[in-house]
Amino acid sequence: MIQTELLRIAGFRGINVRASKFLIPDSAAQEIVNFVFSEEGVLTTIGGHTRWNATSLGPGKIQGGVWFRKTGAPPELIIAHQGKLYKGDPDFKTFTEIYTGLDTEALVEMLPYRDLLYIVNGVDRPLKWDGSNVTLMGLDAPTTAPTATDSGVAGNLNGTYSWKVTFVSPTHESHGSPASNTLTVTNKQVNLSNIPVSSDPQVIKRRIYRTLAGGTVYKFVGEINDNTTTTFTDNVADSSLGVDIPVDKDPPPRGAFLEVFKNRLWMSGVAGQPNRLFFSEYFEPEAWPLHYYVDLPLAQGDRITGLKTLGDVLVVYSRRQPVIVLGETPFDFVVRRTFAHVGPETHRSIIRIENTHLFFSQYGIYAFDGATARLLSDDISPIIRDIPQETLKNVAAVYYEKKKQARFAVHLPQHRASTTDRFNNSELIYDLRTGSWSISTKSIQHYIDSRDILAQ
Amino acid sequence: MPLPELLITSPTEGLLYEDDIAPTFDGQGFTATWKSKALAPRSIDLPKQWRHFFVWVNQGDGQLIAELQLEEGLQRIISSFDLTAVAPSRYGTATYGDSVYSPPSALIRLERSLPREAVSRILEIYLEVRVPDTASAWPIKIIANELTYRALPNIRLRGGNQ
Repeated sequence: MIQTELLRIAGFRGINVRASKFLIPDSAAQEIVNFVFSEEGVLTTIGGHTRWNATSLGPGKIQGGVWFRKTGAPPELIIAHQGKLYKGDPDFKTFTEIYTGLDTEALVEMLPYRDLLYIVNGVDRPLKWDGSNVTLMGLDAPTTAPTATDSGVAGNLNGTYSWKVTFVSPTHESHGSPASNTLTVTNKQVNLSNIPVSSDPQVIKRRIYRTLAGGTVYKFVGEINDNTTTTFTDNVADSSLGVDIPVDKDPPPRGAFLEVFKNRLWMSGVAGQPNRLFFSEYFEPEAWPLHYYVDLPLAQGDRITGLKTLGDVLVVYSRRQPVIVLGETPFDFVVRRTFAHVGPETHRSIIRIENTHLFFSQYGIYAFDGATARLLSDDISPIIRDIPQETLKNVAAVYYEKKKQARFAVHLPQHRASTTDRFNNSELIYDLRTGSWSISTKSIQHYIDSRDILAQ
Repeated sequence: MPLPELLITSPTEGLLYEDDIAPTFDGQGFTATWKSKALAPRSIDLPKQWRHFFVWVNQGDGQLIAELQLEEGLQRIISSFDLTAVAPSRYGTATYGDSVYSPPSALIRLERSLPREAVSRILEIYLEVRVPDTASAWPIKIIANELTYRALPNIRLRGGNQ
């Protein structure tokens, strides 16, 4: 019997729908759904998944989530759903509500830094979780001034003075209040009244600052160790005054995503400020001076879509280009253009794999090395081209190190259950070992990996 | 308790899933499909009397369907082979239809005769492997082992005279 070999598949490679189905390499395939190539030469069905929390939190997408471990405490899963924040117990796989009042639609980004978890959604005021309470990120300064009066009691103050008050939380101190009335006394103690009280539950004390006699700089006088007392007696001599009153302690803007770079938090995605990159004070993630920002020279209609460090630089992505931020301080931060001319659709679609970022753009999936972007998804470009524009805002990605896969959750029209569905219903999976693509039919809003927690 | 390595979240429900640990999607079976390059007779010198396909598939531990689909213009002739129904080949002793693991050397030979008149007008040939439900076993490994990799192609689609 004469036999003619027609097709030899020496190992499996990925989908190739860009070229004619007759012309693609023998090892490529016209279609690969729910198969992966975790073992060379083997078609392996993709791993399935089982429900983690037995009881649903209700209808609606999970808006965001992250593993968080405070030093000395067990890990917690913090998630956002329907405008609420929940703490998940990894042993019992149950959730406890810890906050309510967030927007019910906006995606929620969370970033652990310096033992706190910072939470932003681009709509509401940024929050933080300290392992016990969710509170505002930063503090509003008092808006009313204290009143100073001569006590009539002999004391150490001699001259003309005014006072200010700050609010203090366990992690931060606000700006000063408006100045009190100016008071001239001769060797007297001074009574302060109408000391402002904060409505913010994280405020645990207030601090009193005063000028030197005839001076203009406010210096530390003393503390009130509660958030209820509204009177204080000042009998501190000028020579015993402490540090200057804090300045540049403004609360953060309402950004949509965060990144840590050079011991500062960086934020973008603020409504109405599509090209503005904000950054915090050095080692003070809750202090966002109003003049600490950079306006990027973006093209018309473009906007910042993501932030991610790469080596010693911060990459600021817009939909049309990545730029890099170099430097150490606000005085020498500089923005440099790169040779790439494409950027991600969403912050969540950027993943870092060693010294490279992979990201999803409407033109394909690219690898960016800090200078140039290389298209990885040429073989599946018709599939990406068919992804509806209105679904791109939901694209999410993860690097699944266990299997060396970059996974992108997307909406593919061919996997819709109904014509009105627009949520993520598929994954584009890139096998880094073989450089090949496959597809899964998993519906995924967001990935939450525990690699950073495990590494602790 | 070790933390789940990867959780995925639902886009429609307040549910999270531990990923890559189960043979199913939340208890539901799913279909896995792999479809090879298409072969056009125009680019391949098929023998005139060619009317036989042989496909070798290394048995995994699940149930598979290998499908040959031949296009003749708009009319399709589909030949399906349920691997669970195929007798064990001379290469192996696996028990098919059960979720038992078959030796890596086990091969299934699929053989399908086609009408001569159809074969002469074949426009397109490809191999499609589907795993309709993985509830029985996981992972399912098809077509691979060291022997195959060293000495045999993983899949061979052959035409021949008989």
